[in-house]
Amino acid sequence: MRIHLRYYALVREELNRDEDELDLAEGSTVSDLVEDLGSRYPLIKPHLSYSRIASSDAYLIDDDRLVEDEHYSVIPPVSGG
Amino acid sequence: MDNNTIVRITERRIDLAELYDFLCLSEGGAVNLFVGTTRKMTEMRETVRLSYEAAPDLAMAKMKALVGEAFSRWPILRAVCVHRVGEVPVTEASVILGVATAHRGVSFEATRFMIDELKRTVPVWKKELYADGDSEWVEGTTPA
Repeated sequence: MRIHLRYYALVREELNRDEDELDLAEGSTVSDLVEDLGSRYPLIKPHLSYSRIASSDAYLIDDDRLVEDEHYSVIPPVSGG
Repeated sequence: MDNNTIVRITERRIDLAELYDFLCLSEGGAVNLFVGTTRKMTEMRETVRLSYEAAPDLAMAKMKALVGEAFSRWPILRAVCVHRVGEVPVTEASVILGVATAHRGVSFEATRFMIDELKRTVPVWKKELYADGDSEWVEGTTPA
């Protein structure tokens, strides 16, 4: 299944892209996505341990299943305010 | 809650007067505002400006959630939570948030909660541009 990703901040800079599309196995979870990203982009793997995967309005957890054609974001450690 | 809140992400200079006026109510006895500004010196390095980036939809959702949580915990009359994105020069405000309450005690608690919660949960990132030309992303917190 295909999902859409957005990257921000340090991850966006290191990948030199702010959008991405990934094809994952049916039934993939957040945990599967993180593992896939780490393999696909070794440069950002150290950041992924401290990052969250999010939908448009919530942070997801490892076991959350991803939905075909949905949009997700990789959220590195935040520093607002 | 909606008529009694301003929650916003803006690329423009934050209008403090607008937010203050919004929090001035006849039922209120206290207005408490926190303003986060760009500081010039950090550990001997001079900052020229901070550059802020947000994941906009999620940031708005999280800002609304923390304001809602504040309303549920304290007797707040009105609340504001505005974060600026883009470049914020030294001395200018990157965030302004606060409340109107009948009494002052809860106003401090609520405002403190809101800024602490913002820093803990809202997907915003800041990058420091130093006077020596170097720049780096400020070390962050894994969001909750």
